[in-house]
Amino acid sequence: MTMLEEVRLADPYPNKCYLPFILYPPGMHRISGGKEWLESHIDMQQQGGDFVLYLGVPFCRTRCKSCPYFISLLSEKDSRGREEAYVDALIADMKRWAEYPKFATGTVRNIYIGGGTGSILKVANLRRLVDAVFETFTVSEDYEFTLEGNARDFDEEKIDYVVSSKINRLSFGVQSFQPEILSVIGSPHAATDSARVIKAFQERGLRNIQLDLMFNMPGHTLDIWRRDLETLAELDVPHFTIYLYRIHKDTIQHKLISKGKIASPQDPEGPMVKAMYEEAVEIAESLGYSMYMVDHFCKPGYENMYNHWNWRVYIDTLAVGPGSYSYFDGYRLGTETDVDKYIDTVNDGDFLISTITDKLSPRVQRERYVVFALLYYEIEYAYYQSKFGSSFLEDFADELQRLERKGLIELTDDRMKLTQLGLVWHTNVILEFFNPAFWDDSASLDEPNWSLNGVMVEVGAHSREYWLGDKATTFFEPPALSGSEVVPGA
Amino acid sequence: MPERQTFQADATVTVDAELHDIWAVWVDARAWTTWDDSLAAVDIDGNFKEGATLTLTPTSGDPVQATLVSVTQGEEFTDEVELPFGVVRTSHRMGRVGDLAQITHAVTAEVDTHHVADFATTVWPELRGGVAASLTNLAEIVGD
Ligand SMILES: C[S@@+](CC[C@H](N)C(=O)[O-])C[C@H]1O[C@@H](n2cnc3c(N)ncnc32)[C@H](O)[C@@H]1O
Ligand code: SF4
Repeated sequence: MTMLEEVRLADPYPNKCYLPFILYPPGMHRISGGKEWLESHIDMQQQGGDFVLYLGVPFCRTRCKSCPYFISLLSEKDSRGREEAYVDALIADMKRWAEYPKFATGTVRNIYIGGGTGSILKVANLRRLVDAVFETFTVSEDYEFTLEGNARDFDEEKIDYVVSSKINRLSFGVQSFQPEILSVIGSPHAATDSARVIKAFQERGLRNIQLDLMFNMPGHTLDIWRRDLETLAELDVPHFTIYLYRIHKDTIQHKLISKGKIASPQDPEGPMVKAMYEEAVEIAESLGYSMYMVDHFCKPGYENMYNHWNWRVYIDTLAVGPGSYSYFDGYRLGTETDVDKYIDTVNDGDFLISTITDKLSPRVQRERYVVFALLYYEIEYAYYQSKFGSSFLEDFADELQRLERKGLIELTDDRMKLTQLGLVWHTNVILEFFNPAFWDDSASLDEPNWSLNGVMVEVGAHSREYWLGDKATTFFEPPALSGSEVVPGA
Repeated sequence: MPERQTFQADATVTVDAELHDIWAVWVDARAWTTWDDSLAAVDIDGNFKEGATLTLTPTSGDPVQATLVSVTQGEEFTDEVELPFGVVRTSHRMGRVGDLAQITHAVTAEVDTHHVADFATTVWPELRGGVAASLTNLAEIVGD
């Protein structure tokens, strides 16, 4: 690539935002009162509709060096029986939610065991949990049930159990297939684990497998990335994601880099990282994958249906377990991360509801839909109208006019679509739909936030202008290139 | 007279750090060189769990094989090296003391009696010194 190609003349926004995951609205505040709060604010006696069920397993064998999630270390020895006590509580909590008609009469469309590391559970506990889901709820016949986790956890016994169980999709945090890179980021698994376990599942007929890869870790080069993509191609899994590696503040990786013990990753806006992304997209497309969602690739028919129901169809989410966030009846509800407190609260017969949003106004509920649906690059007018009874083009006329002026979207007869430039500035486009009330919200930084909600709150703590600039300005000058020059004889 | 004699040394430090961060630095065996000055390179075969084999290349000398003989995630681990003069076990342990983390590194050498005199003068001083030195380095890395 020549220097000239690298010089950007004008950007649609003053600062580029990158978010690995969207949660909206970001700001939440602490409450206490669990069951009492719930019953006095939400009609739990109402007839239930479709919902997705998330079950959180907050444990990992080691905490990766820049893990943005909340996790608790669980020793393989587990001499205090924490895993057992946790699964008891998780099942009891799930059953308590199902005592309300809202969930007892509803239909579970999709189930996701995540974490932390869902796969860490021993076979007996995993079996108990999976069985409890089907005993407790009405699950639709065409359900998808994903177990997320790490290849390290799978021995022959667990592989056999999962293949014979109602789990029908697996998600592995692979990150890289290279031992040096896994060491640098502190992953729990060894490089050979992922391929070994994926092949073992495929041989037994479970082929609906997705894996997470990351790029631009410290020491990651284009060459290593190519090797990772080659291994991915050989494994022939129908779904994968690629995440730009982030150094989260307050993590040991941040410390190691600032103390010079580990090299900094490359500039995410620099040529190497751009080439990594472009190459991944090219290779994926040549192998028959399409990037059907930001950073998500799949072969036809293998879209992540948990995301689909959550964000595209836009149904309720019941999330059970510490560190998880539910969404229903216009509220986001968060369960704090303290595992012991969670177990005690459940054992006392209560729910641990630690933070909530105010009830989302009809406007914010629409924004929330748009923000998530945009992960799929487009908004269908008719679907929006059927959901909210109003017109997308009218509800967001100002925003759409601005986005169109900047060349970020295209409005066709039946839908709004992101342009190529809109894709590059994808997260900023999403931020255009943020409610004005959620900018400059530094107060939410002091509320309890966990996992990626903290990252979202940091974005909202800035002013709108910081990310999106003055509304009247169409293009902004990109940041000056830094560099030095040596002039002979000067 | 016993066939082997035991040499033992330990050091403890209290530091403002998260246990999971200390654990993350411990389990990255390939990066032990950043806090253990006696090592030039480390490799690990498979996961950081009991039974795993490590190849330790000292700054002076040939590589030796070590085995992880005990691993309790988030609490402790011990590796063991068989050498011509006996066995060297290095253990690492941590726990919370109030808001702080307390880390202990210890080395135990079980030395064949007929090697004791030689070991005591040539090997032990460096091994013993390494315990405190590695702990100081580690505390610097993980501390605020
Ligand atoms: C909940 S984890 C998936 C399961 C399991 N906990 C694991 O990491 O192996 C979701 C994904 O987030 C991604 N992730 C973790 N740390 C990250 C970081 N610092 N920057 C970007 N993505 C990250 C990884 O690709 C990881 O697989
Ligand atoms: S990235 Fe995944 S495996 Fe690593 S600590 Fe975080 S949740 Fe656990």
